[in-house]
Amino acid sequence: MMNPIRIVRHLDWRVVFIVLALVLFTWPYMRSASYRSDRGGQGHYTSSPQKQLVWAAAGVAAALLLLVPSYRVLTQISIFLYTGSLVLLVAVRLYGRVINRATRWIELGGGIRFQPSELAKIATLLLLAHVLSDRHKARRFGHIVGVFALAAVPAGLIAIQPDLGTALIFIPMAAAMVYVAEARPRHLVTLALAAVLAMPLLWMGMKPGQRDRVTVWLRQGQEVTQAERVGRFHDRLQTTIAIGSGGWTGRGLGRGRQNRLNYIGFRNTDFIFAVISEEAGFLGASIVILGYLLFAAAGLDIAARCRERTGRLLAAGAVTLLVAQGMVNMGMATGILPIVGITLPFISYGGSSLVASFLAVSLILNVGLRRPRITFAREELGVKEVPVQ
Amino acid sequence: MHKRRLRILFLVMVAMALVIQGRLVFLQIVRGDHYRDYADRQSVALSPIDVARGRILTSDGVVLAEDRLRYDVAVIIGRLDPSDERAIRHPLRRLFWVPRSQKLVRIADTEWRLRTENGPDGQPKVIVEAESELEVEVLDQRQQPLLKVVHRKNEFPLPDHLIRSVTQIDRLTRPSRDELAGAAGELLDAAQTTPGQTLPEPVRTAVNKVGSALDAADADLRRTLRAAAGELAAEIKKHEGADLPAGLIAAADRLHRKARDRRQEILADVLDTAVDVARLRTPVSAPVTIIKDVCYDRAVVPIETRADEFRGFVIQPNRRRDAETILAPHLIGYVSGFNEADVERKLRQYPGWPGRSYFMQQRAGRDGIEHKLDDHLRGRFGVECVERDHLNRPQRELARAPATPGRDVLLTIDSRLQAIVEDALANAAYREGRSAVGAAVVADVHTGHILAIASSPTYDPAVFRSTHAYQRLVDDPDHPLFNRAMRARLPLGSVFKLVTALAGLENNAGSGRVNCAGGMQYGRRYFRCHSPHGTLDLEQAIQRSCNTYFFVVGRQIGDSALIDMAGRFGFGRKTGVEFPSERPGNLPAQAAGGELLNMTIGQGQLAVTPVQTVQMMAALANGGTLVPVTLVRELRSFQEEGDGQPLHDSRRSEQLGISRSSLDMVRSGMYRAVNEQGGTGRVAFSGFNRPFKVCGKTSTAQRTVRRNGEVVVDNVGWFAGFAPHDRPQIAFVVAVERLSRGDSGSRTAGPIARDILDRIPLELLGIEGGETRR
Repeated sequence: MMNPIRIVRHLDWRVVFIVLALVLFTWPYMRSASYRSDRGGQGHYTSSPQKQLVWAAAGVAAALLLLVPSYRVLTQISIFLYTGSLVLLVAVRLYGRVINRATRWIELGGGIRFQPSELAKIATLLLLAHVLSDRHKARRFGHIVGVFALAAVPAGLIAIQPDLGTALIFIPMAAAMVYVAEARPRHLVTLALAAVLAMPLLWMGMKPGQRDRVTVWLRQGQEVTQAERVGRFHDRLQTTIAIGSGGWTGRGLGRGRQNRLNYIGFRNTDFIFAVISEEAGFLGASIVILGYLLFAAAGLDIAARCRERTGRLLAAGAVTLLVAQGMVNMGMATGILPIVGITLPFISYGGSSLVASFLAVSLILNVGLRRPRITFAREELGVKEVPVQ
Repeated sequence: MHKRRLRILFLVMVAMALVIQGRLVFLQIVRGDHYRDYADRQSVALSPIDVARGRILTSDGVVLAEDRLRYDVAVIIGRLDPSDERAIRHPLRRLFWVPRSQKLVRIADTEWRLRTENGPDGQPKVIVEAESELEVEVLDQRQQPLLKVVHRKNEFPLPDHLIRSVTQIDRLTRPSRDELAGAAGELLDAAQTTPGQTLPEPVRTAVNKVGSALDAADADLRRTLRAAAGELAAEIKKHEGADLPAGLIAAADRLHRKARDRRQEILADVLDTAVDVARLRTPVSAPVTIIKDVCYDRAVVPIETRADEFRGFVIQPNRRRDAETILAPHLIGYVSGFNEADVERKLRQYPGWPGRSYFMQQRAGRDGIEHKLDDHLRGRFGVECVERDHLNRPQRELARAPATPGRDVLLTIDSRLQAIVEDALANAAYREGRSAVGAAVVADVHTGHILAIASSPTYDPAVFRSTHAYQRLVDDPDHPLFNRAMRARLPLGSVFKLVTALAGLENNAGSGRVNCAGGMQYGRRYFRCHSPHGTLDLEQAIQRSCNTYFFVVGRQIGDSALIDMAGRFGFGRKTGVEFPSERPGNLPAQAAGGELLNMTIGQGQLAVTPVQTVQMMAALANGGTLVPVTLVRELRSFQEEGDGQPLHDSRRSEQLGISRSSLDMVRSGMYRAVNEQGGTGRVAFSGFNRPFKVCGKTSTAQRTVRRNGEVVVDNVGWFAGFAPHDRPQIAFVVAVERLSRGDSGSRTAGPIARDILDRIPLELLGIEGGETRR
């Protein structure tokens, strides 16, 4: 166990600062995106902005709590966390609450619900760091395939919710961890080829609505009919208009036409980047992207300085999980990728997403905390406190 | 090694970030203006602020046309059931009840029929039978298209909420019991004024059923009346060719429309709108009118206040043209909404105007004064620039240009006289009490003000709202929609002898005596007179309308002098009165030989309109000044108090240069024609007992017309003149067509003129302290 003073002294403040800056800089835009217009300009704000602040506080508390045990302990109990999250995912399937035709939420009572898929991401991250910690095993092809299989189980359960976006995020995370785990290049190439060959399978498994989005994505820039403009191209078109109309400096906070007049759907969650792009313009959007890159740089720096494989893998995996999700979200908003339902970490409204993101950050900080002492005070790693199974 | 791999991982992230940045540069910097424009255009709508059209009033202040606020019920398909957002996007799917596993591909023109059937739960369900080509794609479990089916006939139940709303709306908007009973009473009246024998037996029975339903007046009056009215309508349809009285048909039609169950019609309208929405002809959020003109208290208030109950139905305020009393429909004309051509013309006029909707809601005068003075009456719509959200709800106003109301048009028409004239024409003795086919005009001889102008048969302007009634008028052999006062080209006949007389007098011929032996031989043809008049002078010739006298005059002066005099009186050219497509008639450039003789008595190529004739008669009466006839006294702006402005008129009065003595001689002949034994107008005015005397001239002119592809001879009767004889104040003209064989102007047009002059308010003639119009 570490005492609080040590935690404060050795905490990687770069990461903390960047993450808090991202959350705080974008919160006003999230609030603006929570405006619901009505007749005669009599619109109102939903309760989301306030709730988000509460969730952020809860997330910080959870993150601090997670700093207390060493990440080594966490990776060692990861198999239980992983199994537990799988159980929850199955429970969602059976008892979950249906919103927007998807079963993603578990009702906790009192109006609070959470998405087990967010928890599954963290659990899988820990488990993968654990199973890849042996360098020799990581260089075996069979083991790597096993690693992907471990990631595929929760991903599959999430995909049938359906929540393809979240499910697909497991792929870059696992791939990055396998890569950092020094897997053999030819194994990586083989897997990449297999992934390409598996694309048609993915297509066949997709629902018509999901295929539609891919078709829309492929047909971007082509002429569309009026029916399509208000039909399946609606979201794509309106989001693109929102981003484009931002220009250099944006329309100004709370003055985005596309945002305030409700032309964008899911705009305080999945399409929050379109709102930021519209109201804060190219400059604001660039600051967000830059924020993610700085976060990646700081997080990967922690990984690089960590002299222990598990910590390194954990940090790299957590960074990839968050940054990849951010990039996929922004890519989808800008039309580089098809539209998938996936949140922008730290920025989108959503309790589960925010808390899970903070937990991932906490794991990175956890690795950073335990780094300086590694050679001098092994007991600080807390290995002894946990009985080895 | 791991450090290198971490670096590469970071570089991959940087690369992804750069791709996104690149895309942002393209969208926001390169295409930024384009998208900003797009966003502004789709969210900011220019909408018109409508404004009341000016009123049309008579000179004594009776409103002949004005805007009144009416309320319509409209449906917004997109809001029919907002609980399911998908249903808003695909309203047809909901209406058609197409299961999700089947994809609606295409729908062609549709006809709806509705029937009620008991559902499995015993509750009645409304089933829609749609005959249309409905292309449905059937999908398998994995949403793959399996096959396409074309339904020619499709059946589907309607959603309950829709039926509930429609039933409620029908209940709120249908005519009240009193209105219904009133319509039934009118029908019974219409049936009674007709001699009973002419009604076919089944129609009589049906009429009687309406009567007994009304007499019973039980609680279920609506239902019994509906059944009776339906039966009557069917019978009338069966006896289409049987020459049923128009009044009865119209009354039966009105009753049937008031009593019918409109739920099916409303539902059909809703379904039609849904089909239009599915084809994207109408935006999902656009209101489409389904019931017009509903009562404010009974329908508007409930529908507006209980919006939840009537989801998808809204009230739309609307301006309609209305009148205090229906007078001079031919003169007023009518108004209708802008059509495509009007919008195109306006858009050409204002290039770069951003929206069509501004023009789409406007109305234009289509005929009569409404058309001629449209620019003054219409006013100018304002524009409101409003930001709207994705559901088209207004958010805030960005700019506004206020509307300018139209100006009131004050006509020269006197409502009392107009009513008298219309009444006189409507009960023409020569048509056995039916409407005369013809026209009558009364004008002030000094100012040219037209005091009354009527064309007969007339019509109720309400016909423009009913296709059925309108078609009936179009098919009517008497052509009630035709404005005869302005547009009929008629032979003038003997009234023209006045012109011939003046031409003769001014050319030093024709004041002498002529012996009429019943006609005149010219070349190989004998030109007949009605009877051998013996020797007579000019005044007697006018009094008795002797043809021979004017043949002689004509031969003495030649055609150019005669045509010149006719031209001076305004024949052959439009009077320029404020009325669209007035006809100029025809004044031949020359008339040689026999044609000249024909022309001296107003036959041959000469064709005139009643309004030209009244202008000529006024000039003759006022001492030889051709005063242009006019219909518009002044224009008044809505805001302005006090006197209005006259309409700009480039026409000027013209001195005809006819000597006093010539005019006196002709007028004296006209006096004798009406007031002395042997005068042609004497019969019509015998016993005329008013404090003034009338001068007039009769005429019976022959013409050939094509009727049903056959050339037939039709006689036109005229009675034209002025009063009082010693101090002329008004000129009048009555022209009637379709005289029966052997009938004359003095016995057809004459009594109508007599009827008018019997009842004319004396003040219009400057008598008895009435205001002298000068």
